[in-house]
Amino acid sequence: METEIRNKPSFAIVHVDMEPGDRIIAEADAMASMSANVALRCRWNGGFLRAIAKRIFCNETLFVNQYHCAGEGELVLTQPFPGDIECIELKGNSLYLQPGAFLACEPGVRLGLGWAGFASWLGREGLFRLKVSGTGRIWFGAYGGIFAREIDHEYVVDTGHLVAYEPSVSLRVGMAGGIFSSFFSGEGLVSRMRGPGRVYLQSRSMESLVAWTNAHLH
Amino acid sequence: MRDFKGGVFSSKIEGGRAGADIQIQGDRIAALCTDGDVFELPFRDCHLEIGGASGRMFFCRNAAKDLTIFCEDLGFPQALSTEAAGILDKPIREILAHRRQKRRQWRLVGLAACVGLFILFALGYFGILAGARAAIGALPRSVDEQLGAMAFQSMKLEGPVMTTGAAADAVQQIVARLAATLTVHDIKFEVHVVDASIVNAFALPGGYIVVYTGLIEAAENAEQVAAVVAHEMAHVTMRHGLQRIGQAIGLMVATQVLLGDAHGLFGAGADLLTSTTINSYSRAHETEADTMGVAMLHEAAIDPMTMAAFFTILDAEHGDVPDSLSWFSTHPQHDARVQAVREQVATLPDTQYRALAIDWDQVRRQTTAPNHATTDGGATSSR
Repeated sequence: METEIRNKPSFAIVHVDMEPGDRIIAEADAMASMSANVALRCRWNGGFLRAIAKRIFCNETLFVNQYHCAGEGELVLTQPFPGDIECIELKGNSLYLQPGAFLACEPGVRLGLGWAGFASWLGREGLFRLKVSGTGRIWFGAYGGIFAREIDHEYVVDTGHLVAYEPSVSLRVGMAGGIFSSFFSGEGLVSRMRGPGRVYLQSRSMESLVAWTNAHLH
Repeated sequence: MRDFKGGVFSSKIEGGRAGADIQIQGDRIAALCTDGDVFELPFRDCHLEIGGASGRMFFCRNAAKDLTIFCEDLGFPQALSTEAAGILDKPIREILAHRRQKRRQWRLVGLAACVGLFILFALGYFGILAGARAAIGALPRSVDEQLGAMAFQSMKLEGPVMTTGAAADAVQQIVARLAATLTVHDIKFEVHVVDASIVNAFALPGGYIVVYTGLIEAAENAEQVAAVVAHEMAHVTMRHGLQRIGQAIGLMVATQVLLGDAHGLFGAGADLLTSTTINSYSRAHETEADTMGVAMLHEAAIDPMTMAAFFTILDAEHGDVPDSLSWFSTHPQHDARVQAVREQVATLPDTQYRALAIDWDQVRRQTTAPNHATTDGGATSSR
């Protein structure tokens, strides 16, 4: 299965060239177009209860679609908002995805729900996170561009910019500066992350856009 | 040999990382990657750290930090401590002890933060209630009158208003006698007796008092009606209606500021919080109105125990809400109100109470007749 991420970074799509027997799992409504010979099978996103939990806590869809191609075919996957898509290959390792980031994966990847903790919640990153593990490629999306940082010591990320991070990275919530600076600089609370490991960040924050839009509504 | 699930960071792996089965082999830690690569780290070159998203991931790194083997399995540090006794057991013990100490500190910080937040919320909550009360106190009485008039005009009463007749005259007389006891003289009470079999009475801001004939029928004498009217007049005098509006607005603004655009779960929680706290505060208003009502009855030389007697009638004839639901009720439980009235009356000075100059039989004849308005020539108006 050959894949390519096109139209990066603003309106990225995943272009998949499928060969006989290839399978790919994508979240519901991710398909933009596909060849007529690509078959689609819808199933619960990890079982009934897990699907409901993922819907409530991780902003993921209740159902995921498995695309299967008997011959050669094409599949185009996209995400609901403008922004970049990143692909990484898991080799038995794991990755935590922030709510709503998951787009697609190969069948060898397991999708689980993990407790993120109150620190994550206070940092407006959600009480739960999606844990992807196993072997195979996964695709995840973000609002804006995606950039990665390999961190070993402490690294500060503003709320709403975190997309994914490895389990080897710890996260605690803190203030951007002193009390006065934190509240009047507009930065407020931030996530203080510590490696070793890699974090994936988005160049724009959906929450900031919503707040900005609300402020300009009449 | 036991395998532990973990991983490895190394510049020799494409992408720099891979999941691995971790084994403790003789004098070294080995990471067996899924693609067959094996990475080894002798105990003597191993520097240990703890961290990761869970806070309990062990990192075993070489001095150059270009190879890191990590494992989150709870049994890994114990196994490593045993196998690497004399080399890594001491650092492992120190790391675990440090982690326990850190966790204790965080628990204390968390507890202090919870207590601080609770105090902050409590101060904010009572501040809003007190602020609303103070703000209402600064408003002119004309605001109460305008609001009350608007509310009364828009209300659909459950029956025609009896403008004349024995019942209307009786309630007017009760209001006049009670109003004379008030220190606030700029309230113009307007009494409306509504012909409906509802055992209730209510007051609106500005002095609008509605008494249903059902309540008059349930009462044993005029003094019991006076007790209910005194309670309603107390609501008006203490401006409870405006206070509730002010408190509701204050709490709505506060929850909106705190929770912002939070989704359904928080929204539902905020609604429940608002309704229950407002109801709870309304109970405080009811208790206040009972207390002031008893004082008014006493001042007007009407036996205040008639209030307790009427609560007993209500309890016997109409029951009370179950104890389990009492928290959601706007009125305190009847038996609690009776007890409170008794306790307050016991503190009042001895007074010679005077009966109201009302022909109670005539009032009852009008209210219990099939056509109330025509029994004694009284008139009604429909709204």
